[in-house]
Amino acid sequence: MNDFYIIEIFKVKKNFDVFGEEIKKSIEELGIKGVKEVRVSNLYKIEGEKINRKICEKIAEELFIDNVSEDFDVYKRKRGKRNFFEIEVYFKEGVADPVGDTAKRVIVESGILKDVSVKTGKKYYIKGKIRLKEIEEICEKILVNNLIHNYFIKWKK
Amino acid sequence: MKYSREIEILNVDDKKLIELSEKNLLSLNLDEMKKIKEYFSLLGRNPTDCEIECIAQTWSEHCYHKTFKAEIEYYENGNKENLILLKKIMEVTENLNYDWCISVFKDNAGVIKIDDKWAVAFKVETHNHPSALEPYGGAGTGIGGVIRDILGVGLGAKPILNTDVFCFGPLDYPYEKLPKGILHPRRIFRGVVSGVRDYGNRMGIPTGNGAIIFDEGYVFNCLVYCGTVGIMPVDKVKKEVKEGDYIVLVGGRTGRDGIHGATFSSASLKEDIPTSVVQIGNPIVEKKLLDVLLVARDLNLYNSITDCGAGGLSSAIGEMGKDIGAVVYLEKVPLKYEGLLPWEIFLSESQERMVLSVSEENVENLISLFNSEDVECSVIGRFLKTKKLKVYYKDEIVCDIDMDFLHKGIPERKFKCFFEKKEEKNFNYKSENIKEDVLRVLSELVISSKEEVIHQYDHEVGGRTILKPFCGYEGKGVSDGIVLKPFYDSFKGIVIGCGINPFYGDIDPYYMAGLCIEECIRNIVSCGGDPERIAILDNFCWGNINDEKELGKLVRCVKGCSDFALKYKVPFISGKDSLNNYFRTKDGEIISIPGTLLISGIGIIEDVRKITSTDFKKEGNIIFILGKTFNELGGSQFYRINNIKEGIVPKPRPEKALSLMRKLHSGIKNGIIKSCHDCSDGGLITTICEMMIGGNLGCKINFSDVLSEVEEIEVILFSESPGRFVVEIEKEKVDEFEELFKDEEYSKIGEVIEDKKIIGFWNDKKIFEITLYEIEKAWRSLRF
Repeated sequence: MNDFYIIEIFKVKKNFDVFGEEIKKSIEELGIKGVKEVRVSNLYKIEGEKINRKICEKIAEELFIDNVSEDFDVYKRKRGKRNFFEIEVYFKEGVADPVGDTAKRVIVESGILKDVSVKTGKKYYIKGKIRLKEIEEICEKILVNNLIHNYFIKWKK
Repeated sequence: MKYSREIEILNVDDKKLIELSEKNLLSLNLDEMKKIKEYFSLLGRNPTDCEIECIAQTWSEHCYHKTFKAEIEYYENGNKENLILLKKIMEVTENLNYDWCISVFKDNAGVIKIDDKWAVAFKVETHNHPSALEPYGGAGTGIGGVIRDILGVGLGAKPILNTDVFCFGPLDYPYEKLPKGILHPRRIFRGVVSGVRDYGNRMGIPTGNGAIIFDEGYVFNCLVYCGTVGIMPVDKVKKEVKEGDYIVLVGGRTGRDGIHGATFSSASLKEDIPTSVVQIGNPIVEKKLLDVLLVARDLNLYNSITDCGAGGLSSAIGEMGKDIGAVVYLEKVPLKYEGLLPWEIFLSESQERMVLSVSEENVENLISLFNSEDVECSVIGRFLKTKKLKVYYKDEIVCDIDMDFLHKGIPERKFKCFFEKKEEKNFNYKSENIKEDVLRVLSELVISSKEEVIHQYDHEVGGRTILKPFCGYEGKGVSDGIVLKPFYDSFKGIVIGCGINPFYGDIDPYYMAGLCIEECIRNIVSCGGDPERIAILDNFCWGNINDEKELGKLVRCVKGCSDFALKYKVPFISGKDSLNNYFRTKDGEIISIPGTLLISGIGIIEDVRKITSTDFKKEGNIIFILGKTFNELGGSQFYRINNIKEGIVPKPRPEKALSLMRKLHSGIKNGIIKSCHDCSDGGLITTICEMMIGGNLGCKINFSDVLSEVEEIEVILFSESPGRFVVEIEKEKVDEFEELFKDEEYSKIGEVIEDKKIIGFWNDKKIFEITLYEIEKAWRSLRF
């Protein structure tokens, strides 16, 4: 049976999130005010036989993270963060995903699993006084290229 | 037929033929479709999807260069002339007939000799459409593609430098004016820069020379030029496919990405575009491929090589087996995922793949070498003397066409076009505040420092870079070109420069061509290159060439290229054109880009210890300007910031410039000249300011001493007349300098001072004073 888990890799709180800051700046250039914080994390969707939480934690800890500045989370579904808009961006079917391919190779070559499929994505957390419509505009103009990406917006009232 | 589909063309009328071409993104016109119909009616059958796609790719503008090979009827102010553009350009090289140009216009790149043992290859490509759609992936694969071009020249060269030139819309373009589906220039800019950076840096190839132009004309179609320089032994320049050789596909796997790239690049951008045309690069795969290929080359394991670029396998194999014939078994091609149709496998433009032609006795060795380096390698067919391209998928023939028809069957196109030469009028614009105008010119996007971009690129990796993109104090000054020392055991060097300026083209594309050529040569010579050993590459990016006026401008530009290259005695060794860079709005209005010509040049330096840089070296040294200034402010940055579209465009004066440059070269070689910077965009004042920033020194300049056609401060400061250099000479060497340049036009204009400011005089009367701090603040004001 094929199963899947998502590994989310993010910068530890005390570290400066460079990519988040860059996106925040771009949002301000768009003329949208009120964004307080943007954080970015990388997603790896691991899919295959014999996958379980423990194996994914091992993969994340041994292969994917930089122990000093990053931390990770393994889950299937995650409850949304309070006060944050969450945007998940994945490649569309058929678009090459070189990072995913390399991650897959590393998992196989390190002997953790024999076969697995890895898809990469990005997750953006945006906090501030903004409306859903503005979030959609941010997605279309900064975060997503509709030609190659699918995206989902989650928010908690 | 199980795997392929028959396409009905035998019994359809002209209207249906055109519909078919449009529906399948073939980009073929009616004449071409009819020719295909004629061929297949002789065979008595309909083509398969694979066949028709294969023909469309081979005949695409991208692969065949229809426009450049077509016969053109050209009217200039009523005078008729018939010409073929490609011939016009190749004529220059044939006429000059240098023995050091060893492979021109026939291979993936142009190759010139460094010495008897080594040669250097240079190629510049454009990747405009993909970069407009997905800037990061598009620019990355642009660099990846041109690196493979260098790997595929001769039997393979080792890439040692990348160059990049971009043209974007203004970064502050209002969002409201952008149509749906067009990305904002700022976003394209950021994506393109990161794409080039990531691919080059990850491949371990320095990115060293380039330019960035911003103009409203590029909002809908950005331009991305990527170039690569490679070195190779002279005896590896020749390649030949032998009958009976096996076709071996190496590198990445094949997927559905990038299908229709070649035909797509021949079309204009519209609002709906399929996902499949987007390519995303994987530099790590290409790096592994590069390393193992060079080992195989030195072991003589293959007879010929070419890269899988536009058109994928169909174009690579079709090209290699042009004179022999080939049989291909598509089921042997390694795939990224299942479910690809045969024509998709044959046409896919998946990145990081190369095709080799290998003799029977070497196949086993080659496969084991590639396996040992963990690079995929599969035998997918054979070159057999059939004069046909036969493609099988499992037990079915999916393609069976004559090589002759594929490569020679294309109906010749005929074009007619016009060019009306407008009279250039002098426009006397008076500056109200010189100091303010100087600072405005310096902070103009085209002129200001691009350090934020350039510092993202690795320009040191490989340890060959002698003169870097930035030089002088704290690495703040800007260099004219880049100098590399390719070999550890020799002081020989190569120098790269480029020339681009679409703004002159608005007034006259003929002189734009000459000016771009001269700017490129000036850049190379002022770094220490020998003006007698320079070869250049042309890259045209033009708008809608179906418009007779736009095509007329292109022809006028090509004529300029041909005339001036001959006069400057520089051969073209390679080139590329990207046409139809236009955008069709919802209302059907066509917006073309400004016709843009990029000239990239490569020169040979005998000894890299005898070069110079642009930064002022020491206070007390004397400043000279070489060449004469003319009242030519048309298309200049000074007029651009003041929104003036008229004026007289600068005119190249090849004889004078060439004799000046020869002396300059000997002056640099003999150490008389301490620093040298050419005058181009922004005029004399920009040149001096850039030299001050690099040297962290000031200067006193008497502008009335500048040898000039008219005694006007605006002309002397901002005119962009070619053939001028600013040089710095030590006091003790002034006599020697004057002796060397005694027959040339030059003037002594001032001296370097320790005080960090520029003091401008006019007949000993102080007219302005600007501190280095103010200059730097304006010049480095650009923030992305």
